[in-house]
Amino acid sequence: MDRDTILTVEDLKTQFFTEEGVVQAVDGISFTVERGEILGIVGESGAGKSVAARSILRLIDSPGEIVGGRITFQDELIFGLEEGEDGELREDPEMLTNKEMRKRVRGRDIAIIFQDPMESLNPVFTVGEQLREFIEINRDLDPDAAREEAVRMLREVGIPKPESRYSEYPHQFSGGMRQRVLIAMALACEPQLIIADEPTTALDVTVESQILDLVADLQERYDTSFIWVTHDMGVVAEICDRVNVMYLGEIVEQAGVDELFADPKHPYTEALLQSIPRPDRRVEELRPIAGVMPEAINPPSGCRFHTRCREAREVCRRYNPDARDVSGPGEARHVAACLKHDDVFDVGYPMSDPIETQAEGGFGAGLASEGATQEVADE
Amino acid sequence: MSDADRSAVELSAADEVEFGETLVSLQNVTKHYVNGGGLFSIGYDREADGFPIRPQTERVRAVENVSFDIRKGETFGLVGESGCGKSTLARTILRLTEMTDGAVYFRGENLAELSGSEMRERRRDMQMIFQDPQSSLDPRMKIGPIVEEPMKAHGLLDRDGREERARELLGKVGLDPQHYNRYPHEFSGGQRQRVNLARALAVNPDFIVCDEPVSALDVSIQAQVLNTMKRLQDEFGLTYLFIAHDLSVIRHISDRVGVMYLGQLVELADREELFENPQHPYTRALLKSIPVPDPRAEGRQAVLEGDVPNPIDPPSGCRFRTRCPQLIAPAEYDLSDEAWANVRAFVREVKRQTFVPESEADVRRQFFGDAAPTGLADEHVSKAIEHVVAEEWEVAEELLNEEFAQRSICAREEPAYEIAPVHGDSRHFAACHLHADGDDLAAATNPAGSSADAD
Repeated sequence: MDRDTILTVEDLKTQFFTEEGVVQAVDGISFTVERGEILGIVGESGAGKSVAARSILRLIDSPGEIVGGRITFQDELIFGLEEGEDGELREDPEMLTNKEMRKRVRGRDIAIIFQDPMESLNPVFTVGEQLREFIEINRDLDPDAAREEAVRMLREVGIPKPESRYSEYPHQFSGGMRQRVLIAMALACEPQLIIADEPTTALDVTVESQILDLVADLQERYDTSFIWVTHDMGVVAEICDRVNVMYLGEIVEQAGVDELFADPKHPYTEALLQSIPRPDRRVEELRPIAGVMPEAINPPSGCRFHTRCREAREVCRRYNPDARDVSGPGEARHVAACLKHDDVFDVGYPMSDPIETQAEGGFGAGLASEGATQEVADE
Repeated sequence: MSDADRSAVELSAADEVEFGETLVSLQNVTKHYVNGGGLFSIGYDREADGFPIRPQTERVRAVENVSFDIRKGETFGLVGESGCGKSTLARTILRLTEMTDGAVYFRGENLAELSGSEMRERRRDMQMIFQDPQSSLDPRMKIGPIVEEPMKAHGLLDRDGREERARELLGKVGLDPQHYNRYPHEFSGGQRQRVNLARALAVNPDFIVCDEPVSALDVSIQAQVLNTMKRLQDEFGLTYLFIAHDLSVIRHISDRVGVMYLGQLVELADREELFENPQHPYTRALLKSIPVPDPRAEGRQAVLEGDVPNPIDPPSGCRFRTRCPQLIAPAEYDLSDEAWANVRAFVREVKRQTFVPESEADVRRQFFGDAAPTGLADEHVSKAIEHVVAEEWEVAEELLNEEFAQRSICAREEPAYEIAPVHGDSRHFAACHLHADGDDLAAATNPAGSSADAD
């Protein structure tokens, strides 16, 4: 393991056991987080990015469960399974207990910021008291020192009149200000890693911009690592160092932010980039991705994207490619899960026949509930 | 569908308005909501002359004095942040909520003067699509009958004719006509928005108000729906009022764009002109704030600080002035640009109380190191610094507000100017005193109004 790697996720699988069947929300993803970087996880709704982020802190409630993989944070094992004597999988004895997770990891070493700040703030206590209590417990300060520290943190994240706003309630704060409070709370224990789950999605663009500036500034000063979960390619381009693109529970592409935008190596990433209108110039015609993402309860065979892919061939129905390094000689590491990189996967993609998918057009408007994914693409 | 059937549907759509001419005209549209007035909103007033308890009401100035024209066949984009009044304006145009003041003309006819039944008749030509495709479809109805509903309401066609038309429309919006008998929950968000489109088209309207129609959709689905909307516009000669908070979407779909802030229209121009030559500081700030999906593009910048003020008590003059990075210096002080910039920064930080004042010299060094105001302006600043060091923040804030912010032309007059466009020849309206050299609309025509593009 690289010395500067603080978090390693290997082959993580999280499933939800519902009445309709097993939802493979996260299906075997691997990535690392390096010290001081902002790692993006980007994808559309249903891609499994939030589940992936929450799995890292073991914040998965029933009927969901982490069923496989290994999560290592520095030298501690957050999640891991081992084979028991009777061949059954059981929890690795090294794995942190729930109590250890609660007392040592969450909030202290790894903090999380959610999309809706009200989810994390108690409406009946003042903002300042919540922050003070959090600091008092986690940093072993006496109440007065904790209060002072709380005010300092509020000032640090740009809350105006921190002394007087300390004793206000969450509902008296605007959405942007609440998100600042959560950032203050996340930073209060100077964690190694902050997981931010769509923290700016609910905010107006000018406020989002303020928050992104604040995060960039704080990140530089505290050298905290971030996992930034978002659906917005603009935000990714703006703040991330490296990016994971997720589709239907899998990571389909992984690269540095410049390489990902300049030379996407997975057809999904490429299609996603072509489908977004841009603020800085006019795009004559948007190229939408045909269809909708299938349900994770019953994913397509082979490559999960093949039903909507413009480059799908017959082999794509049969092989589900894992994510492999497909960078050329002298290029930075660039991981993609697509069989078209035949020199890496070698399953005969060039000789395989192209298949008819909705991406080619055709008039098959299927229904979302059937798992069929046709939605007519406009030429 | 036979020609006879079609003409029955198109009967009222006899086109009196040529493409490119004004179809909808808003004149000083104002909408205030009155809060309170109920049993629990009573205030106790100790100083009152008579009975000390009286009802307490407040006016939310959601939309104020908005004027613009929408031309037949165009897409007019209306953009602004949450709470700016854009959705209220849309509802007001269709008379889904009654306006407080002003007028909306549709094909030259004042909608406010129509009776209830006349208005119902007129709604055939004006349809609306909402943001949430889920809640705007009745879950107990099949999509075929949903699309037929407006035809039924307006007594168009017979039963078979309606079904035939519904199936045809489902095909037109990119759904399978076979799905006539399916329920809304069987469709994805993007497909449901297509059902909404088909329903809006059922009565063959001229004008469709689209309130954030793609905001709830994933980006790849957004593109599908946007493309369909464009195709339908060409095919049916539709006019859209397209409301969105997403500037990228607005840039993609609109022909002309209006920008709203706190209930008012602050800028209006052709799309190209607005995006390439924005003239209002708010529009510029918005454009700079959007993250661009390209790591090599010129970086985004957070230009604005703080939050949008409360529409119950909006700032005087220009409503944007409290957050404006280009507030104009009061004419009575002789300030250099640098000194004025420092004064503004000082005023802002005092208001936000974000620094810890050690001593007068320290505050001075912190804010006025490179350029300090002189004369009268300096006296006010010095006094304010004294108050700040004495921890009398509110006193300092009040003093600075009175002597600087309130004396600016931005606080005293409502701006409304017309400027010469760089791109295209359509009129460019900007509500900002920085353009005082343009045509002053506020002074010229009516003192209250801002007739944006009365062509």
